[in-house]
Amino acid sequence: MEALDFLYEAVKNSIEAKADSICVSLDQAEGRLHVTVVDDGQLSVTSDPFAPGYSTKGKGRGRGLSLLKSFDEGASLARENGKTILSFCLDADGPLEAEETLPLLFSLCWENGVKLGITLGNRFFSTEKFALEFGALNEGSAIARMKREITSKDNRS
Amino acid sequence: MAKLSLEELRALRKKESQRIEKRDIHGRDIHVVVGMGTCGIQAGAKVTLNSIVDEIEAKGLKNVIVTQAGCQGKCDQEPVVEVYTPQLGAVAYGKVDAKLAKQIVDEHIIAGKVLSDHKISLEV
Repeated sequence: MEALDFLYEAVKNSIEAKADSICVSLDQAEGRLHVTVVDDGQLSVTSDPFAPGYSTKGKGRGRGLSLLKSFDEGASLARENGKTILSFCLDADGPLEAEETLPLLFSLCWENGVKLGITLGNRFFSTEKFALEFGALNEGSAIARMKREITSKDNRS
Repeated sequence: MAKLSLEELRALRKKESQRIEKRDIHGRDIHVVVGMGTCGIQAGAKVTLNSIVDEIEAKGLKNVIVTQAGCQGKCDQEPVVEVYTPQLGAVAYGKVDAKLAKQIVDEHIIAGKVLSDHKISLEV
């Protein structure tokens, strides 16, 4: 799995945890991508959440975090001031191709009524900003337009 | 408050009706659902979904809702794409790569023809 695939899974988890808002920070440096996902959803962990098969969501779950740990031994999950903070750092050589993943996350969050803000280097994108510009973010043409917007900003930096 | 002129009222009505049209997702005719569970992502569903939206944009299609769903129990058929249209009802396709995704937009959504060779049943 690529680094941004783990981000996609992490945001899905935040939505499942009934978050109202999710803040993501992405920082690529020296061939590594540092990812932090902060949400205001619920978290009730009773043992090591990174243990294979550990899940509070039932049978067949509990693969994501253990898989993440196998890629990044330093991955961490913490709870502070009512927020859940997941951070990890993965190899990310070459272009990030954020435009292939981030619009899908904005669309998914918008459809679920969750606010999502993503800081990508020195740029910031959010569901609210995109919705003002493009309307319904689960429309195919809106997803394509978000892709263009993120690509064009990528090229400017 | 200053009174609005008839022209200003018309402009306001036009702007608001456009805004309402954008928000009214229930009136959309065509709905595409892409399986984006962990199994789908590992099979390349992200590339599939991007290919679908690129083709929707390239063909200037409006009112097509693209939803991301979880695993539907057909992991061996991922990436799975379901298409709902008023003419053809619900049709599911399996092992949809970027090329087939474009074909689905062009032939199923635009031309109204089911791609029988790639059709699957979602009954588990």
